[in-house]
Amino acid sequence: MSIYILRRLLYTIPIWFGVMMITFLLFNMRDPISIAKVHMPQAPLPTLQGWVRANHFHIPLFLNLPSDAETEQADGRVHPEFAEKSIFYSQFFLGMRDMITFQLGHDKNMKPISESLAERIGPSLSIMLPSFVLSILISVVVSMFVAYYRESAADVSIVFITVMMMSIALPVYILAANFVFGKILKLVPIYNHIFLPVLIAVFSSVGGNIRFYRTVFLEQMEQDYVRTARAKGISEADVLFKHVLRNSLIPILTSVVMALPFLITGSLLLEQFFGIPGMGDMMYTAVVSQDFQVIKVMVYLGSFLYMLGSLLTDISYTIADPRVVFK
Amino acid sequence: MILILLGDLFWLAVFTLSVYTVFRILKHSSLSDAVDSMKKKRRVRIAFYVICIYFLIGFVDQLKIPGTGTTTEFSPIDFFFQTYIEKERTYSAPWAKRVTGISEENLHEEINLVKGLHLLGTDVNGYDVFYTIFKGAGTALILSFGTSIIAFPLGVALGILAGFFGGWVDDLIQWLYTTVASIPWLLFVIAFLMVFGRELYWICLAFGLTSWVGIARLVRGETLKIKQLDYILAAKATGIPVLRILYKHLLPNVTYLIIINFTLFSSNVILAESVLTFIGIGVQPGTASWGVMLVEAQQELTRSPAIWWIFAGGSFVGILPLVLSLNLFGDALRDALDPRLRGQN
Repeated sequence: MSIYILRRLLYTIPIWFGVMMITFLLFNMRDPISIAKVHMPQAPLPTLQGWVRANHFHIPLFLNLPSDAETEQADGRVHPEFAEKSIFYSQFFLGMRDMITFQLGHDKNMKPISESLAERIGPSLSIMLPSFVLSILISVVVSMFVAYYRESAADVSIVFITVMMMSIALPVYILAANFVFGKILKLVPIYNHIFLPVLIAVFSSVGGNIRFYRTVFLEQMEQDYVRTARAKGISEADVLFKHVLRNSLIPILTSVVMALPFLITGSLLLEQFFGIPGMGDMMYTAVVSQDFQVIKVMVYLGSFLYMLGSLLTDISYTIADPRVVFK
Repeated sequence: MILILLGDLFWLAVFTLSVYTVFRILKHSSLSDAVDSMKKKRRVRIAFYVICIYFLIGFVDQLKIPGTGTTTEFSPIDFFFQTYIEKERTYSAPWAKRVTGISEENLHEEINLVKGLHLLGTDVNGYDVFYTIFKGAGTALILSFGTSIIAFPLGVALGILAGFFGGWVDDLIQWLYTTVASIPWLLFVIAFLMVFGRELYWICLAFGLTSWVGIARLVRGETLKIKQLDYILAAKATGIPVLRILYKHLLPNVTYLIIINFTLFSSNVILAESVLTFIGIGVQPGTASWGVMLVEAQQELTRSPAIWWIFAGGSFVGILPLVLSLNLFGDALRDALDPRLRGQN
């Protein structure tokens, strides 16, 4: 098993490399002056060039080769700044070093991004965690019920409702909930309140969850061990909640872990609309103010979390079910 | 003038080609049982017709007619609404007799009377809400077809290559799609649009570059299965070139995955468009789209009296029926074709 875990860890490395490659290609391949212009729209060219130098956008993209035109001076000799550096003195390798060591850099206002992340993770979690837990609980209960009474009228109509819930866009949920609770019922002070965002988050995610869990439960209920358990005279509740639920945990756990990094984007709209100072709001501000460094960090962290999540689920599989073998 | 004509020809070609493809895939002998079983379900039939109607409206909107006067071009949809539907002064509620938000003393002035009948009311400029919804169908169609045109060739080609050749090709392609799949797609799309801009073709490219992964994965699995069948072995043994085997014997047997995925894609893309536009990074404000309708509804709903009909129109006449039909049709197709895939996303 330790060999398996080791191989799975090694398998993560090329993917990690690929993620850094894609983020690099996306953000660093543009003209450096145009990047500087986003930060200082009105600045004259010398200031922009100064910014480019200060942020290391003037050094070679991939490899510090003597033949690289950017490193050459007018007289054809290599600039001393580049001549004495190693071949890896390039944007790509410096960027990679920063990413591996999690030096996230500064945002537009020169505030360290790691600092803002630390400030904002609390408010984000205060919405994400309750909605996440509630959504899973509701989904498990409803989908268990629906799977137990499969093909019945209740099953058909609930499945239809879940498809319907999945077909409604998140902005529609937000606007409708805000309209109904704020304007018609005048119930809650809308802003800086946790109730409505959690309600919307649960509503918008429960449809897909129920549909997925239902198929998982249905698959398990057709297995032989369920028939055996019933034949032994085990009560129906025990069959469902001890046998079926336990055996369904692996696919459910996977979907839960895989959904984790998407919580950043899922709460993006909610946090922006309800004025919650979390990570989604941070990202929204970055989008509006064209703060590329923050977006880059978000893309990288989101992907890293996803990688970590799938790594942990795969490893927990082997612990839960020794038959699983990594190919 | 010539450009407009060329655009029309292009869209007509796209239209004929996609109708032809859909019918060819549906008529393919391996699918006939599935199609028969789906035809029996009324819900699936309705969903299919709804999809056809929305996409037909979208296509008609792409066909441009050279305009007169200030407008250089307009579509049959524009023509219909400008000619047959009365334009009001400003907002008016569905079926209303007068425009919205007028004070008590002006109640009976003629300028505030609504000239035509508007089932869904009118927007701030007095245009019928159906006009914006129809134009939004055009945008939705461009997005879902544009995404598919990028994602399907990529996904099918890479999936077949990975499955058929195996070895390092397989490793490389698997690495590529695992990497792309590790980046949360909404984050990738946001970053991509920030770097490149907000034009429709960039949105299509961003969606396309993230969503080929699912197809490649499915096609690879299917290819792995098919390549061990006797007829492929026989084809290999008789010395048929590899490319011909791929094209003639493999491709037709994985095409059904395209239809399943197209429906899922389109529904995702349409939903994502509204989210992106809401953040302010989706389609540009001038474009008519259902996402833009929702953005504008944000202020309109807080007015007093609330302007709710544009929100209701965009979300429950625009997005919901089409996405719901796409989801229902896709589910039915998936169940009919491949029960093993049930519930996977």
